[in-house]
Amino acid sequence: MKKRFISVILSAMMIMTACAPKEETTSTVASKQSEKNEDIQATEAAEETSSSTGKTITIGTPYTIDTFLPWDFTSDGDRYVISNVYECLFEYDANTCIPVLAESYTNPDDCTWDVKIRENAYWHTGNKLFGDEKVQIKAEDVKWVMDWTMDPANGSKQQTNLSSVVSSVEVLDDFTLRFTTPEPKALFLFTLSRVMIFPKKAIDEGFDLNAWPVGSGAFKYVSYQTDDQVVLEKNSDYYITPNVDEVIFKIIPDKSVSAIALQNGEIDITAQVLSTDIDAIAAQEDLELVPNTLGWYRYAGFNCKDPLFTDPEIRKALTMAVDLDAAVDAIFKNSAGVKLAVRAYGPIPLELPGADETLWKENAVAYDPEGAKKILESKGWKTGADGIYEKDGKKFSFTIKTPNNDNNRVKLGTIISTQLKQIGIDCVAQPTEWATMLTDIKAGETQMFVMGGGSSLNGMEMLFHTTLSQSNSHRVFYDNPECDALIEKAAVTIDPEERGKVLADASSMIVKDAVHMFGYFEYVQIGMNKKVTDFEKAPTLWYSLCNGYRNVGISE
Amino acid sequence: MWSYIFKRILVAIPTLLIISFMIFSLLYITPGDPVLLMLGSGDTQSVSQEQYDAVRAELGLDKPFFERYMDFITGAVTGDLGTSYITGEDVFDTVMMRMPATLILTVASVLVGLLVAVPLGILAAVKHNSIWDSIATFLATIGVSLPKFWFGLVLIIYLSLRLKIFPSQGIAYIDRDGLGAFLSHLFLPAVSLGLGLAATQTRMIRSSMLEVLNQDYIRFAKSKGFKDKIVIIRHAFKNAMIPVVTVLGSEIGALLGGAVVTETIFSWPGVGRLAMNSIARRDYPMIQGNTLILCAIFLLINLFVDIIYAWLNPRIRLN
Amino acid sequence: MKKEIINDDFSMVPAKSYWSDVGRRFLKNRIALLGALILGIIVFMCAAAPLFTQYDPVKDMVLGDMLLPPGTPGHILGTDDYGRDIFSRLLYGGRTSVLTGLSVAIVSAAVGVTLGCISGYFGGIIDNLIMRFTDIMMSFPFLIIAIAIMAALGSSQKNIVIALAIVSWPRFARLTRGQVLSIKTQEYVESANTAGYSDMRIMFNHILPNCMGPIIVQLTLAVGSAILSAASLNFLGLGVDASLPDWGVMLNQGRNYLQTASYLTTIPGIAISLTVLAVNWIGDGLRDAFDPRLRV
Repeated sequence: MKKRFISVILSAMMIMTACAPKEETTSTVASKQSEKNEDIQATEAAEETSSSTGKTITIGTPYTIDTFLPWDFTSDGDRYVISNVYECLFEYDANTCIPVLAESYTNPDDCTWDVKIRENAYWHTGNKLFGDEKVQIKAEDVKWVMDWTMDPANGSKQQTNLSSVVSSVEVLDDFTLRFTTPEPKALFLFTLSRVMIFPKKAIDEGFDLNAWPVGSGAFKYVSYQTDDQVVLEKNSDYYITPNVDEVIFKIIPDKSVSAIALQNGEIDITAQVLSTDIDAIAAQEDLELVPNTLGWYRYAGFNCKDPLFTDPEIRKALTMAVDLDAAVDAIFKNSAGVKLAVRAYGPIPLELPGADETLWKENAVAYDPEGAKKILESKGWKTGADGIYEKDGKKFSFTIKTPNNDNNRVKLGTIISTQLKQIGIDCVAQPTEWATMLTDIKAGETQMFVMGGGSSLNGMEMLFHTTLSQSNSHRVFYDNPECDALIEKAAVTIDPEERGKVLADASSMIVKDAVHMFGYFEYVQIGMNKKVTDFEKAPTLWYSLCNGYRNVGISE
Repeated sequence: MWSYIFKRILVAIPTLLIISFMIFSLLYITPGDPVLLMLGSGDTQSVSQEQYDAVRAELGLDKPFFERYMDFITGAVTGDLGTSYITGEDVFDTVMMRMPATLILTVASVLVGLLVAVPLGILAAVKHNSIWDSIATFLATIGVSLPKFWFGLVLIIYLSLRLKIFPSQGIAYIDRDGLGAFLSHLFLPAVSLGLGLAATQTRMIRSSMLEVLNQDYIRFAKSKGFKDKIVIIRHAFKNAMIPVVTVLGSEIGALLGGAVVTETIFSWPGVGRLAMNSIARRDYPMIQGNTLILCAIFLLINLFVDIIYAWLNPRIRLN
Repeated sequence: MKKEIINDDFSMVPAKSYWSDVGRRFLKNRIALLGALILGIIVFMCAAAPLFTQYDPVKDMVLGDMLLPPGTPGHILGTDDYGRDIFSRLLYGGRTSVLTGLSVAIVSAAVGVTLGCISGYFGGIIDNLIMRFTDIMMSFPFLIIAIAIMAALGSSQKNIVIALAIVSWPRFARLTRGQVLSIKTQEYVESANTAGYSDMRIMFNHILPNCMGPIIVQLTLAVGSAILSAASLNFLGLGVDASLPDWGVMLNQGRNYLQTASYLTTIPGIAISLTVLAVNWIGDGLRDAFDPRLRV
């Protein structure tokens, strides 16, 4: 990093001298253009020569890099890089479990999991930690990571997650581990997919893994230029030979610009295409759009503790007043006909166990503004002189907070507020800065809020459980012991089908009580150049580009 | 003069102390919880109260306000601005790492801005109330009436996406990518920032030039001999440059604080993105450090501006 | 005796007739009057919006009619990405935007010019105090100020004006001070001093009229940037309601549609430009009118 700093300063000094001639040429536009064309050709030529020695895939990510520490990251952008350098035992794409460092597992009884790891896994070589020595990863290395992670003193971000499902880890032989869980844990494997395996040696020797990540994944760390790019190279010791020699993560904070960079061929993959850029990408022959495997759940939640919303009938009435089908259509309309989102009728993504649209629809209320007014009037609300409902001298007036970092959510909130205004409710849509929003939700200082989340196997727990939910960004203060009991039951039900049924029951209670105004499941589109191969098998950057399941390459 | 500069540097110390206290207190009342943001608030992370408390204690956020402030100040006095909550890196190093990119962009956009503003502003003044004057006013008006993101994106859409003349994103380093790539990556962000700067400066220069052209002594100068005329006009011109220099100083200071929108649109790795990110994440040490550094920059720039005043008008006494 | 000391005839003109002179000169300036006319029309159309459009800018949202291009029957300027009539949003939005723009510019100019004038005129320790304070305010992170204001005072259009005024006044202060420093050295000010005029009288009658040029330029440009910045504060949560129309908010809303529906940004962009242009022309007229040496 120091070296980069110095060379950047050098560049800064060079520009002082370089700028003058550059400005002079602006007078003749034509000569300037040809000069620039030459520049681009020159860089292209340079890229071609480098690609003859190796294949490079360039990925645009909107996220800043926070950390490379495998136990410390929370952001998606960090995960994109880390999952290529480190391995976890299993990866979990939507509902599919893919062994990575693990080879197989058995489940002798509900509370015991025997995991066999690959006998051909080695730590990266060519770094200051291991030098050129090829060191094999054994069961005890993995056990050490698990124990280290569960020790609160080490401050791993996965500590709470892992400790809640694992009570002990034993080494059975060089390549087999036995995990014991305190009770049957349906999400055991899923939880392991969050824990990256890193070398004990680094901790023992005080090696700075943030400055130079050393793992066992398919790619080795090469360099990071602050806020600019991360470069990885292929790990030739990996048991599968990666189909690309070099991976570059380009940090492009603006998603629209990232889409343009993709269209220009400056990058091969962009992590997320905005709905407004879909048409342009779809129109270009050499590009394609790959939807995320999982639809991400987005909703408008009621604070069930707020005096206005304690009565489920009122929540239902408000839901009836909003044409959510039309809202979702309007937000995701595109002429290319790409399915960007589907309307949600319940809180569980359709790909996950527990999603049961027919059951949800039976319990849900349909769009019916007149019916909504009738319910409100039956509850004692009367239209005042200004056309706004009031009761006991108090107006039906509240705020719906929308996080300002997602346009789609702001739009959902605005449409809901406008349609409520149309039936005579004074509903204000207020875009809110993310950090403020989180604090407000945690403290219960919201009335309604638009949020997204819970789009994983433990979603119901995160969103609705009164005590188990350790996530602070979804607090709706829904207090239903029956529902809690079902969610708890699901957590200890290992059979997926059985578990699905329990979750379906729990979620239809949520639907019946109209705890959320269910918004949509958003299928985030990854934009990709058609010369990228094998990516769509698991269309996510969340997991390694090269594992037993897929091996992303790039054709000439 | 040297004693003046020395005095100003001495005054910088209490100024920095005051701003450090102001930013510290303001952050204290600003909503948002760094621990919550650090631990990941999303779907995948469960965080127990114990884990939350441990992190809070580790960051020293459980300490009373005054103790925290004293910790910060004692560190800052010894040149240690603390470490970032998010990355764990040293605050000063983190800012300085991004400073060269910001510096390059600032220099380039000021050059672009002046290159447009000086001729246009002078033309508008010399041809006062003519069509040229109106055109200049009109362009300057558009320059301040449209947001920075608009200039940035329009430049990218037309010059990069449609015409493929420039790359759409990123910085290029001379050592890594060569001079040509470096300049072509710099061009669009510099132009988009420079045009905004040009808008204000065109108007300022026009107004200042009008002032000069209408001074009695210019009329007076016309009656004098050639040599005297030059002296008088130069004197008037220099004097009229004072507002231009003032505004330029403020603009440069603001640019060195980071042009958030432009950096974001052009994927430029400058201090603006860092500043915005650290505010969004409530990375207190980073925000405090950033503010102190920027304040020091402003103090320095405005000292320069005052010295230039004295040079432009020798009758202004530095005291 | 006075005649001997004061060799610039302007400074001898009694204050009252100078100000009425300013008014007379302004009225004779055609471009300035044109600016005033444009601004007047804009203000009138916004204030009397219901006369010109039958659509409600918020409630008349027809999702099925979104992104209709300008010229569509019934929607002269088209509809936005919520299916709301752009013309009606433009008119109603002007109410907040023009008001915000003008009030931010005027409030921050009033504060900045006063402080700058005091700072430059008295110099010494006062100058140092005020100027170091402007240095502090200029380097203070705007976002934090905005978020803190929102937390402490709540969300309202008034608070947006406060937040923007807090960050804009230092520029006026520095600009004014620079001018005052230089004008202070001119003979007629020094002679006014020796003539025993009060500080206030010298500042406001002799110095200030001579630094109006750059201040007016800064003031007129501040109108535009205030309208734009107000929108970003709206998006931070300082605004009252996301569905209320506002020119800056409309511009931001069109950000992602630059390629597919560029009119979403150009229409409010033109509205803002026109307002700023009008204010600029008025400003030019004022500048000329204030300039005692420029006889019309």
